[in-house]
Amino acid sequence: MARSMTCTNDRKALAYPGFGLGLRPHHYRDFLEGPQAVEWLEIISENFMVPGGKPLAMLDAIRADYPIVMHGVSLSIGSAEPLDVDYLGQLKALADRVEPLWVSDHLCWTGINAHNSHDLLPLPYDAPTLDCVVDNISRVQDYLGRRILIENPSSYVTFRASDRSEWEFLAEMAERADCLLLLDINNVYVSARNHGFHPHDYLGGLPAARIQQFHLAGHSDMGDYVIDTHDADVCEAVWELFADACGLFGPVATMIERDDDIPPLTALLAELDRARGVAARMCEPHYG
Amino acid sequence: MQARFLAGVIDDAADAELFIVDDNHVGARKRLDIYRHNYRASLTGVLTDHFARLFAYLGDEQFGRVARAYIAGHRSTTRNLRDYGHEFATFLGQNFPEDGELAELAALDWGLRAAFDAADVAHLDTARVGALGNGWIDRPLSLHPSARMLNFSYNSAAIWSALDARREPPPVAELAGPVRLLVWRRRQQPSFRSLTAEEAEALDRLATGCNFINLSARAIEACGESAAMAVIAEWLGTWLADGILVTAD
Repeated sequence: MARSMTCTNDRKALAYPGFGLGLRPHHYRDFLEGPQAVEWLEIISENFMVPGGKPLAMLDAIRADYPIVMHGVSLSIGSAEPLDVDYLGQLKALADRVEPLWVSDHLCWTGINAHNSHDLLPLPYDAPTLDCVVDNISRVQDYLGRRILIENPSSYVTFRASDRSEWEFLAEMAERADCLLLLDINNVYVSARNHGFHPHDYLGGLPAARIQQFHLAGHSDMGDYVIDTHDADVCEAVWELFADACGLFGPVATMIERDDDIPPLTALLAELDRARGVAARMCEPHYG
Repeated sequence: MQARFLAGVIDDAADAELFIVDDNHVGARKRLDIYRHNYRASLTGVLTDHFARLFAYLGDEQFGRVARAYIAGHRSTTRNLRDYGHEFATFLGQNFPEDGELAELAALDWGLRAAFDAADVAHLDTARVGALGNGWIDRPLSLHPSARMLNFSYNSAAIWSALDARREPPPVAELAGPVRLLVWRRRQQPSFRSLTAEEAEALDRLATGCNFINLSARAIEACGESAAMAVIAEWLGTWLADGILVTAD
């Protein structure tokens, strides 16, 4: 990672809340039994877009002690179809209930013609797609009454129609839609391996002032390609890239995202402590 | 483009590969296969999660075969993955009529899962009934949103309970007659129990807005005043303790 990178500091992001974890049912009891060493928690929005019962009861109880951010997987911001108004209504109702620090989703689409893939499907990075995504983000932000964060996806294909890089697309999207970015460091690594670009080119091409949150996660290395699985510890290469991002962007809200093979909370807190250590070391110049 | 790409993912349509850059390193087909695998894996995973006791009953391999067949014929039309699988029990009933316990286990798994996060509506308990005073007997009643009744012809409830307790399930046996099961959420915990035909009929009436006066009148007509009062008092005590009743108005 020898390439030089520069950073601007005209921050447009929200206040910096520190370090968090994804809230998963495995750890409800830990959070209810006593204070844990996290400054905030991230929920998967759809897991709580339910009529009632234990999920919302747990969320309300934990929300009383921790700030929450909402992270969705079904907004389908890149869909060629109109936004799902019913989904947006449920998302807004949850946001009204939770009063999150912020709301995020992914640069992707999830389905069309009433059929859903339940996956974060890739987009071509071209002008028509950019127009569509910017328009959709603006509509969502108007509806929710707040700026949202859009996360860079892991991807496995490149569309023939793409005429720009993902980071160029994200930078223009964020500027035109006046949204913020959730930078998944693992996804940068995964996509860099899958598409053969240098992750420093990616980081260096992003608008630093709009980066509100980092995700750190694990993946599965298949040799020829890498799959974003969130079922393993953060690997050394991603830790290195995280350090580079901290050095470039300064203090950014950071969390460990684990969705499968979920370990005891103590293990995730240890990973988060490592993130704190890396950030403290790499962000020091930003405090000077 | 998105419709054709999705067809490439869901139906393995090959022309989706025309949209993406091919390469010697991984190749367009293998790259698209990652999304194809993700699609099937996420739907299989959610069926495994939603139908956990059926999964335990069938085992990984057999459940996987059944799940793949269901997924092939049932695209997801829901935005939230939690809603996928609502026709799984019907699918099993249609495709495995000789193994009736499969559809029943699936229906019980689904009913309990639906009860888990059903709407929060304040249920009637002794304190609320007391607060409503004598007027409560005229109020139209209903069942809590988490409550539903299932019709079983096999000992599927016993099989489910054994699997839940990680015990060897009993052999499948057809019941002497159909039995109705009540599934509901009790203090945030999904629960079920079997019903007598009389209690099931009473709950059917309550589900359609019957009030307590009319319910009592029907019971007296069926079995005489003395017996009716005793059985209704017992039912009411259970319903109020279990949080099954709500006011419908």
